[in-house]
Amino acid sequence: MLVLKAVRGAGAPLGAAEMLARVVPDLSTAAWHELPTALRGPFPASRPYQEGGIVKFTKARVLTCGVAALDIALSEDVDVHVLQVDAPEITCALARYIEQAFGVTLSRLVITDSTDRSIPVSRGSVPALSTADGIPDTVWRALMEFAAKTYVAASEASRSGGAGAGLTDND
Amino acid sequence: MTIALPPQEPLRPPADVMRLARMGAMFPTRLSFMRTLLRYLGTESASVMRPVWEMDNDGYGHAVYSISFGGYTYSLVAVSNALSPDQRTDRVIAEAWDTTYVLYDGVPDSNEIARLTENAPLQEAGRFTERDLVLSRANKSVRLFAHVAEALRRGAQPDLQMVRDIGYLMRTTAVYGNGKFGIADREVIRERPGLDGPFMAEMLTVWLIRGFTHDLVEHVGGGQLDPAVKRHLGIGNSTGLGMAPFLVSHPDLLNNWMMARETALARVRAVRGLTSEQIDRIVALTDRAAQHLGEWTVPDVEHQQRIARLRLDWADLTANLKDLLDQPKPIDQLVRVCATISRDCEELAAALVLEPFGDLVDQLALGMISAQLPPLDPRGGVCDLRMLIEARWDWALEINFDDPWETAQFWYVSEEKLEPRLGRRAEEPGADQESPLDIARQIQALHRDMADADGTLASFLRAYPQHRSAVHRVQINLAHPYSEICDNLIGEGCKPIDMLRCKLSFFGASKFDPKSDRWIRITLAQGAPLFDELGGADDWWLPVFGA
Repeated sequence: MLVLKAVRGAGAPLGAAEMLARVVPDLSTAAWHELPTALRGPFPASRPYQEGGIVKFTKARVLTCGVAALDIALSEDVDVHVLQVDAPEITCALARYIEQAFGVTLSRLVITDSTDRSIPVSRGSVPALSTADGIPDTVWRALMEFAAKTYVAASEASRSGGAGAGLTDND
Repeated sequence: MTIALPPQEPLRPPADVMRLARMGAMFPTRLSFMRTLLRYLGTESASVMRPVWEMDNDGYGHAVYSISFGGYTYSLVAVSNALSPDQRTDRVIAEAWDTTYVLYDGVPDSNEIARLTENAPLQEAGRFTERDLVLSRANKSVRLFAHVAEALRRGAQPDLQMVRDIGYLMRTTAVYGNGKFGIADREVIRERPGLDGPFMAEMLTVWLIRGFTHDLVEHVGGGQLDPAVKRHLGIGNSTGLGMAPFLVSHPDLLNNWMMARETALARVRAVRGLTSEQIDRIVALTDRAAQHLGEWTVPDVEHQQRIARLRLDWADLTANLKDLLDQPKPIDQLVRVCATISRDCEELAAALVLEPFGDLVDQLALGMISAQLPPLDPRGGVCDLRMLIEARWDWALEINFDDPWETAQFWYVSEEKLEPRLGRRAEEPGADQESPLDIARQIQALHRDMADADGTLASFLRAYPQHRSAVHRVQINLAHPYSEICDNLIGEGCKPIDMLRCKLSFFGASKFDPKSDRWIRITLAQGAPLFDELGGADDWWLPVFGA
């Protein structure tokens, strides 16, 4: 829930936030550490280009390009490259989620990190962050800051009527 | 091997069932979660123990109750403290309560009891662990608690009228589960027998709290309550807006709950004829409903008028009941006739007719759990989705969002308490941080941008990523027809108490007592089996005094 609020607070599209929220239980420690970067806006619509029959997204943002690339990889018979993506571990987690949900292998999907090193989708199959270990403090603080952008400061109107309840209840 | 499903009549259409006004007329049924839980505890021969009772003469201290079922033991740690009247508020923003609770995974040792008695009174500000499954608090109905204790001190029983009118000794003001404030995530109990259904840990907590309130008042009063009086003392609950967005953010659960209830109704409507025992049972239940309506009075004038009208309609129905039940497909006839009378009458009948048919109905509770919804499927075409919207979301396309009346309200989360709130768009700040409960407006915007588009959804969503959530909801709704509330949730006409009543009826609540458009009091577990009555006691739909 916190991740969903944080992604919304960051200004990313709601649908991308909902998709990311689905994979939260499976995120590795490395993927969690990518979240603050992935949530840094703005989030312009993705603009892929074709080169040699390959659909490419360069300097890709996971919450726009990554999601769009997965749509193409699932629905079209083409090679799709998500290059220098800001959050490769998260991109892999989303790809695995799609593979499992639809029972497919996205064999024509290529993901590279900021150094243009290819990251196999299966690589992210490392153990998810254990709840006992806790979310890293820096990531937690960043998520709280992004989530806070969705909160509305209290006003007299909200205090007296926003929740609808009375102020005392001695009955 | 194939298993034949019982025959059924057509389901009632979602466009009719999923309107706010109808959801706000729902009653509890035998599929309600508290009923399901107590049926299960009965079949498991579960029994409640009270290993710890450390209370002073005024009823302040702590107690522990333990219950074992499905291979696990759970304990309610209850803490009772003195509370000054000016601190007694039902609002979630309160910081002190008469009593506080934790449902604990296992039997707490003395160290754990010490930890919980220290932290439970702090509620949101406390420190909790994965052993803590549910966190709750409750305030006394001071008037009734004091009266019952005083009567018991005199060796008497309480005034029955007062018991009937109030119906509970304490009222919970929040029941938190699923990882809130550091308690265990639902994953911990998801697979456990008895707690695998929706809100089962919360229902167990509430039922144990109810038993604690009985014990506490008997301790303070130094006497025993008559079991019939005790049985009629449920547990109150006061609920505000916090519960409402759940129905929008969990379309899978909303669908599965409604689908189970509607399938149950469709099955009993297909029953071709009734035995004399079944007729007698329906007549008795109809009389019970009439008594319940007679005992249901609320201060809210508008709602009391609704109840009064329903009493008259129900009396008319009762007069003709035997004739109706003598026809082919008698349940179907009964529901059809009630639908011509009023929405309240139809919903009361829809709940009643499930009661005699546990064999057709109860198994459907298994389908009320959360389903793993598939992700958005981008492989379809834009034209297909547009036609789908026009066929199934016509109610959303008809709303004129240029009319300020249709956007008069906005949902948001308060920075102060991190709780959902509803604001006035023209008068209050914060609309730019609106929570996305404006589903109808999102669908309409999606449809508008699809007007000149064709090709694949994948290419459409590349150009319009802001519509991704709406596209997904349309796809979900195709396979889960009861997943959406078919009304404008930001319009002037949206009354959140309709959403609250829907959800609370699934919990098993009755005696709905609206305090405003967005805040409601109810009673849970009224008439339910006491701690020592679990075996075979499932006949407490719409509790009436003296039953």
